[in-house]
Amino acid sequence: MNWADFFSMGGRGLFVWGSFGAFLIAVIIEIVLVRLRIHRAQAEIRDQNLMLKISEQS
Amino acid sequence: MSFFRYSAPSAFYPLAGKLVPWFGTLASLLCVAGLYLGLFVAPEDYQQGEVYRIIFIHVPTAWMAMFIYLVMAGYAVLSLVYQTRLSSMMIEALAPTGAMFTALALWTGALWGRPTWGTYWAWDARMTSTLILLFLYVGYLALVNAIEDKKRADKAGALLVLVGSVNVPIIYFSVKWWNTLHQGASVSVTQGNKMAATMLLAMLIMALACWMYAIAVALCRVRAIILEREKNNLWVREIKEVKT
Repeated sequence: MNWADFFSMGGRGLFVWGSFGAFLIAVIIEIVLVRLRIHRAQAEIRDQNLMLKISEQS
Repeated sequence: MSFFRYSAPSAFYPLAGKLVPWFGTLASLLCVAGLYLGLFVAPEDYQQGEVYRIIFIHVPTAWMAMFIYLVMAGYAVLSLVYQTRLSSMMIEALAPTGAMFTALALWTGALWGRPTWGTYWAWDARMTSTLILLFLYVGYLALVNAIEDKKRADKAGALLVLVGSVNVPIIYFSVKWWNTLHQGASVSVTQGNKMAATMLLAMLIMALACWMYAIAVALCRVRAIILEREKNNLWVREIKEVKT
């Protein structure tokens, strides 16, 4: 198979790759955002625990 | 042991954590298989040529857009009837993913419409009702985030989701009820399918990949939501991710 033919998609490459590309980019962005959100939530609780520990010691 | 004990956020949080990698792995394997079949194995369409391959993204994302909304409506019923906290959290966890799939369905539809119908957009029944679906997702998120009191926010959100669910059958049957630019169903329960076997297989595998992905990402997001909402509860201080 010829790669140039593959990417040109019969001259409609922009439409085909615009669709597949948008899908992959959207999925990657969502995964990054979700991971950030859970890590932030866990970090907040870690901080909360630390504050609690400090206040118990003093 | 009861299945329902997992409706407690404290029990669901670790369970979801165990499930995420399984669904995530399944989603990526299916996605690779589906893309390979769709881009390399499936033959060119005799009418449309190569551009028809947008179907492998367009149809799965459009199906998920409708399906996720129905799942949210199911949780909305649970949330309104039994007032379970987890149901409201699941609605909130699913909405961004549903919105993403709806946006992708519209975007890929536009990119498919231009070379085949000669237009990116038409105000036909299916496209308009899908655009309304996107507004419902975004409207739900805006509403829930605008109300300070979480209990009231959950109630209002669930009500909005439930009322909006009449739109889903409208989208699904729009191509039958009205004379639309959008074509009719290629795969139907009553009439079978009108596609070549490899094309159908690639599309179904991509749909399954999107389904597994949606589960993985929603479970991960609901874990974050659980922690955000329950951060003042004792059990949250004891989860293994915050132990030092």
